[in-house]
Amino acid sequence: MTADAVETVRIAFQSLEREDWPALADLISPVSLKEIQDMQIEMLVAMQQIPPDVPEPPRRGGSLVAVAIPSSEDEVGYGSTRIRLMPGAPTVNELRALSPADFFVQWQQACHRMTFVVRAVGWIAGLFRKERGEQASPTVVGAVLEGDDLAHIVYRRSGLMHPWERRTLTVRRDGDRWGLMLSRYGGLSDPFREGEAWLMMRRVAPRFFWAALKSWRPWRR
Amino acid sequence: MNGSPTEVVATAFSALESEDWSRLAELTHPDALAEYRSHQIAFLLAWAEYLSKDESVRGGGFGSSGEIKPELLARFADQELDWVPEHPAIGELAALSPKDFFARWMRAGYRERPLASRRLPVIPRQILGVVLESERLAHVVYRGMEWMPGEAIHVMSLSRADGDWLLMQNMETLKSPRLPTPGREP
Repeated sequence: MTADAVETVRIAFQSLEREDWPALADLISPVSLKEIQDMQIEMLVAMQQIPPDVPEPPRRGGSLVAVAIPSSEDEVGYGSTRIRLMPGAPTVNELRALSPADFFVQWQQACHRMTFVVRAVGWIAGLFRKERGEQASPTVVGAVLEGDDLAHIVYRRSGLMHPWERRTLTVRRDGDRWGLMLSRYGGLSDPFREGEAWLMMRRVAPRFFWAALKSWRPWRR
Repeated sequence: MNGSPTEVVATAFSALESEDWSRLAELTHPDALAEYRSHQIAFLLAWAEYLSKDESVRGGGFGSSGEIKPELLARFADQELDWVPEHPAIGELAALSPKDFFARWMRAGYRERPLASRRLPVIPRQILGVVLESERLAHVVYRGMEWMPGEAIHVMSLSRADGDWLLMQNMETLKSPRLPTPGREP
C-alpha cells in the first residue's frame, strides 16, 4: 500500500520535471483538482483586476499590487471577463466550463509560460543564479500512513533554507487509485504550485519596470 | 537518551501548550537555538537602524542577512524595546545564551498572540508518525494548523546530539514579537 502511494508521488515529480501536465493532472485527486479550479479562477479574476496605471512608488512602504480577491458571488459578475494570462484568453465562464483536469493543464501551461519580461525580472532578482545541483528533482525519503486511505510522503527538495528540512505531500486513496491532495492555497511546501509565482510576476512585472522607470526620471536629476 | 523522536516531539508540544519555554529550549538542538538568536537579534538591529534614519531616506522596509553585525550591535545595544515585557535593551538580549534568549523571546512572541485569544478554532497538534532518514536525522509528521484557516500536515525534523534527539524547530512553532514600525503598532 505504501509503495503505491510513494510511487504516485515519484511519478508526479517526474511529470513535473517533464512539464507533462496531463500526466500530472491524472495523479491529482479529483477533490483537489476541483478545489484548485475554484480557487484559481478567483485568483485569475483578481489578477485581471490589477489596474494598468501605475501609482507613484510608495515612499513609506506599502505594495504596488493591492487587489481584493473576489468572493464566489462577486465572481459571477465577471463571467464574460477575458483572462489574458490564460492560453487563448478565455472568459471566466469558459474556464468554469472546463473539466477540473483540463483547467489544471491550461493553468499550469499559463504558470510556466516565460515571457521576456518575466525572464528579465527573474534574472535581475537573481532567481536564475542557482548553484549547480540546487535544481535537483525532489526525492522521496519516507512515508507515514494515516489509516488505510491517507499517506503523508516526506521528501527532500532543493532551495530550502536548511539542508535537513523536509516537506510533505499527502496522497489519498479513492478506490484503487492514489491521488495527490494539493493545498488549495499553494505555498512553499508544494512544488506543484510554484508556477503560480511566475504567473503573478508576469502580471506585475511590467508595472515594476514602469514604476522603476518613473522613479528614475533622469530629466529631474 | 531523552526518548524516541516521537516522544521528544510529544514532550515539546506539551511544553508549548503549557508555555514551558525553558523545557522547550532544552529539547531544541543547539544549532537551532543559535540560529534563532542570531536571526532575531540581527533583525532587531536592522529594525533599529531603519528607525534611526530620516523618513525621507529610509525607504519602505528593512531586513537582515541573519548575521549579527558588531557595528550595529555597538550602536543600538542600549535601545530599549518598551513593548516587550520587562522592556529589555537589544544589548541585554544579545548577551543572553541562545537557550535563555530562545525561552525569553518565544515567551514574548506567544504572549503577544496567545492561541486562546484568536478567533479561529485551535487545532491541537496530532503526531501521525516518523520517518527515520538516518541515524542522526528523523522527521516527525504531525497534523496542525494551516497558515490560512484550516489544518495542515507539518514536519518537525530532529537531529541527534550526544545521543539525544533534539528539535530543529520549524516555522509552525517558532514565534517572535512583532516590531512596531511608523504607522503600525505591534
